[in-house]
Amino acid sequence: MFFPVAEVSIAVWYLVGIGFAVGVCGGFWGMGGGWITTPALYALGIPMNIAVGTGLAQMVGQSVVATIWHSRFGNVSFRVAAIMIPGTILGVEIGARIMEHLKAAGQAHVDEVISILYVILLSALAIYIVLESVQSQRSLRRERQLMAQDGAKPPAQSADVPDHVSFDLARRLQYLRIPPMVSCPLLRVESISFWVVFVAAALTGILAGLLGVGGGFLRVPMLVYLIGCPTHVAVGTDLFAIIISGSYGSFTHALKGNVDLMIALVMLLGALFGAQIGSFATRYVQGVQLRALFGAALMAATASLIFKSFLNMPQLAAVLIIGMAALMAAIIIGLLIRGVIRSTSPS
Amino acid sequence: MHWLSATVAQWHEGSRLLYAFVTVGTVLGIGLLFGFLSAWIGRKLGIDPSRRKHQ
Repeated sequence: MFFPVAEVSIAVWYLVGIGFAVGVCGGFWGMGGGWITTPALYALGIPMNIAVGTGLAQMVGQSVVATIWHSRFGNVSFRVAAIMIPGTILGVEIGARIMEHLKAAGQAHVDEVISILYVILLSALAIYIVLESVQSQRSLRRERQLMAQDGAKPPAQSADVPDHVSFDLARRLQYLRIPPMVSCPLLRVESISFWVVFVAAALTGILAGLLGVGGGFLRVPMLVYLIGCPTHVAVGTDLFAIIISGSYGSFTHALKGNVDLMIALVMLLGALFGAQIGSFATRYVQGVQLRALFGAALMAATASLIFKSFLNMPQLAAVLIIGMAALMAAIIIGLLIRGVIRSTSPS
Repeated sequence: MHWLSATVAQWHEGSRLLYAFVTVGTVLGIGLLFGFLSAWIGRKLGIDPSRRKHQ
């Protein structure tokens, strides 16, 4: 099918498939998935500016569906999101201005330095999340063994297991009693200072603005490790934040003519179903499993970035990221099917 | 489909402000419609996820 705005012909099934995979991953991890859609569309010959804008528009639709389901699961903390959104917007604005200032000042190799920083940040975050998840998984296993010894029955659904984080900075940040304090029944901590949430959101926003990315991969770990959100709540809360930031982003991109609405709508055909599957799958996995898969996906994203930025192999980078999204979508669907079978079996 | 594609291209060439509003309105509208519709269908089919308590 020919898309006149992007001036390319693309098979509809490919766009629906990409949308579906991104929807599953987005609904499961609480991210927009711009790091998947942008290279996937760019690899098809769509100009980078249109790939970014179109991906943003598609992200809004899928996030709305995923947020509705996560909200029904009790996974959205609107209070935390209300503080986080202005903090993130302020941070992104500061980060983008720092970047502009550096470029205007004629700093040599700014892009190279930013790319290296991006790779270091992504890989460090990926390794940390994977190691932390493995450690938490071990602790949970020990707890389960103790429960079994006591004769207690484990919860029927995996998502009902209390989230376990082995390195919980949120508990330490809880001692910062700078008013106003925010209490939220969904958080792991009793209450947390408004300023902790605001500053943490602003810092992730600055990083996102500097790197020129949406920042979902930064916000979810920030919500888990700094604010004290259980992983499922971090996913739902971030999805809600994406609706606001994504709407603003796609509006400004559309004003510049950077959105091909038809491509976004075709991708949405797959993403609307995918987002529901991803959201449902979170009901059947523990927070640690969710984080471990997230860490693995970040590792693949790091490898893709290295291929693209340092080895000058953008096609291979796109294949890697699309393959990773397809594999992760398959794993998530498998986890959902396994969870449904387990929860419905009489034993 | 081709008719819709041509209409979208026409909007894109016309007023950008209108195009921006149409873009955001369409994706938000479709998301809300589909989300609430599927939630309603889910309720009717008995797939009604109760709010779970976090600790």
